[in-house]
Amino acid sequence: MNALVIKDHAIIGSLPTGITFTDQTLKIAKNSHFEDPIKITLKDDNNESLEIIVGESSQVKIILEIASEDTNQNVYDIKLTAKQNAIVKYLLVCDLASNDAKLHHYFTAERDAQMDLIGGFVSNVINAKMNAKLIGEGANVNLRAVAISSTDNKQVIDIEIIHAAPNSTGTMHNIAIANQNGKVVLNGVEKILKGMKNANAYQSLKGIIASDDAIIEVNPILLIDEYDVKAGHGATIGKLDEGSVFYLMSRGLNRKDAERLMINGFLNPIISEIDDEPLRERFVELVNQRL
Amino acid sequence: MSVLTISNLKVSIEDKEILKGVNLVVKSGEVHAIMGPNGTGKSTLASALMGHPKYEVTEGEVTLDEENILDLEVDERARAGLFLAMQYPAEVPGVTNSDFMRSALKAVNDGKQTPLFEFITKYENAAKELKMREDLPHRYLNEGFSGGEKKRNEILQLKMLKPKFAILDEIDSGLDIDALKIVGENVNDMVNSDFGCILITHYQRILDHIKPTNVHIMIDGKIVLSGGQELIEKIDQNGYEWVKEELGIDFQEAEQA
Repeated sequence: MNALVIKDHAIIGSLPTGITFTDQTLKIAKNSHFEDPIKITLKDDNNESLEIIVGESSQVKIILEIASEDTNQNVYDIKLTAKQNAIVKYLLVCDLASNDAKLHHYFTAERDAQMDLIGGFVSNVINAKMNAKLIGEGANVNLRAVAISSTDNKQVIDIEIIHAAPNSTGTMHNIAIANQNGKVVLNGVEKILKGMKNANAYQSLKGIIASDDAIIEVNPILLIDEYDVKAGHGATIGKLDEGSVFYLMSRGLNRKDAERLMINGFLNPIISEIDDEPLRERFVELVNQRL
Repeated sequence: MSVLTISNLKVSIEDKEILKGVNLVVKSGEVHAIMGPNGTGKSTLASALMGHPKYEVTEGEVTLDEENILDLEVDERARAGLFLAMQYPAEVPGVTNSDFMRSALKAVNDGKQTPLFEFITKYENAAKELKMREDLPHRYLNEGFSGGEKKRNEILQLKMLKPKFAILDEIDSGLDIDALKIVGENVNDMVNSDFGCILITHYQRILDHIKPTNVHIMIDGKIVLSGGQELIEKIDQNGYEWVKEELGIDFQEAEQA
């Protein structure tokens, strides 16, 4: 694990070879292959912007942790570009105490680039945008986001994938979980521009309501301006399956533990991607505090 | 030794009475087979005993060692020593078999966690005895399991949790001959002075492997005839028609609810 901390727009500590940082831009040299993930922490540093550029044919996994106790307005702008043929896995863990946080992500996938993007949101009040643009032929973006809201939390998550190249593939699977009087609005938009033949778009949105006062809104939207494409979408909102709860309880687990186990199960595909063990444990803890 | 006593149990689903007064006493060391045509309430009895919310108990009493279990929540019944091997076990994505099993064991052992190494050894041995796949602990709970795998997973949980009484609801349906033998032998091995079992079935095949001490025939929400293994033979050869004539009751075989 390569761990970097950025505070006040400067790197604390030294950078691994193949990575440079100037003008709030982190560059990963082309043809570099990082076996271990790179974890970047933005530490109590609101009004932050950061650009990450992954060079041609490089392969890397980046874990970005944004955590702050600051309750004032927080604004973050994050850009991540995958150059030609690069393979990028990106994981965001966002835990902001702010009462007004704005977090904007702009992802760009160039020709034949593959991006696997995961966002984990356990914040108080946040408006998060994850915008992915496929600008090169053969680009492939897989986006997964999960938001967990509890007491007085309000999270609005906008996920958008834009196909601006033919033969591009974009999929999104988003999960919203709301407990107590928490609220999550999940907007999933997938856009295929005119002339982008053979584009593939798929989106699924899933809302899980864990209390009678919780609110979840999901809006699955496909905007397609081309005939020769494949696209599909689905959205569901519901309570936890009572049959499964009964099954788990019949083995001795109380209702709360049964529900907790099931919700952790939904999140497992995302949790298992967090290679950094302390961060994974903290994420699981944050999630479970809200259940 | 423990005793499970069911007295005059009446159960309804959406105001339709399914069980019309069931009486049954099961002691540790006994295996009670409950047989009967489709739709006579056998599975309702199983689910109602475990406390499934869909079933409403309108009358009667069920006690486990003098404790009235009808007042208990589902999980409390499990912790009191009751186990239901389900006809259609739920699939729970994202929850591994081993995580689930360990949480359940902790719950039934008054919150005491089994040391990891001891747990793994026990789990692997039990899985081996049931001839289950080696990657079982890491697979998600029943997700993508074949019918036979699900049934074996029920028995695996039974072996790990060691309840006082198990209700096996059609544990034999959908099993091929080999799986049936494995399941039957594993259940048979469990029966001892601390464990009793209610076996709900409408086939006879499983009874080649598990020898019941008592056999009951259930028709139209009631146990109409009780006896020993001689009843199995009689059903095997003559079906249930003779019961009608012998007892002078009329019923129609219905689809399973």
